[in-house]
Amino acid sequence: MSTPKHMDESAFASFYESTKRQLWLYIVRVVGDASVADDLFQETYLRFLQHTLRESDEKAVKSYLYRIATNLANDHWRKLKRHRTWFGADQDDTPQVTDPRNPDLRHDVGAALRQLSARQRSLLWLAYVEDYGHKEIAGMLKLREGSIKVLLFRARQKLSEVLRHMGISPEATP
Amino acid sequence: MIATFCTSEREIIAAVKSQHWTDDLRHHVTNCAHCQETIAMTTMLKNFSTIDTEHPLPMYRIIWLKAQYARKEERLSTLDLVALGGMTLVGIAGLLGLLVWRFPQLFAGVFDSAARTAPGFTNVFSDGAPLAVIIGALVLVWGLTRGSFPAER
Repeated sequence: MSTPKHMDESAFASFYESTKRQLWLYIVRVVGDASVADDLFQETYLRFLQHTLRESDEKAVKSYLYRIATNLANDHWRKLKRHRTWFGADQDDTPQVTDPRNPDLRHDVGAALRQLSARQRSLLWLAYVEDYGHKEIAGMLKLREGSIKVLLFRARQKLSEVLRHMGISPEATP
Repeated sequence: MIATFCTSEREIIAAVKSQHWTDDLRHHVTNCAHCQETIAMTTMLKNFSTIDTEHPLPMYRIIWLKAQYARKEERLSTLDLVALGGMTLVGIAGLLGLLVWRFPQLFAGVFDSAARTAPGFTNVFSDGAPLAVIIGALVLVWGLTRGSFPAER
């Protein structure tokens, strides 16, 4: 695979088709807003295409794409935090519990995830949905590889705690 | 709180995704609290990831064209800087040429010392010298800017 800046149109087309859905889902879970995710999604690919990478294997290129998305999501959260500090909260993030035995994934899990920090959401998503290893996650989130284990553990604990508080207990049978 | 971690975690995540469980892995899970939680977490997040999969996303070509436009804009802004630098160089060269041509006595000291260092040097500054300086500057500017023009695709 060629590096982003040197990709031709057809190479980009196939790369885009193979990554777009997962990337959008990652961004929307981290920022929690579909319209913001749409903007960040396009911006991620635009920035991606402006850069030259030393590595050209598919995994490294994909990791780089997620790193850009993570940085953009973090920037978004910083802006939102500043905005809330100055103008007050404009949305209610209080989790709304439906039926504890049958959690509504869209609302309950979404609300539970919103109780976590953006970094914790990124960590959980990259580890458990995207199936990235600690080394790759460290590269994407600009953290030390050794810290990932502890941060991931804390993120899991926090999510479990929030879910427990909401009366949701996810199934754990193989 | 001590962070616990199981070396089978990656295998567990892969098994949840593929639904391919070996007997060893099943046996391990029954005795490992960390892996039980990993299964719960992965299953829940995996199910959550299947929501909104119908959300419309832009066609690749829209992003591709936007990226090409952004690249062109970036090149043009670089070109602006190079052109500004080039124009400044041409201006300075033109001014120097004019000064040498109209007021040669101002540079007599320079020419004399140059002539002493390299005999025949003053011949270069004949009547056509200012023009040569300007042409030289233009060639220099052309050389500097030719790589900056956006290549048409």
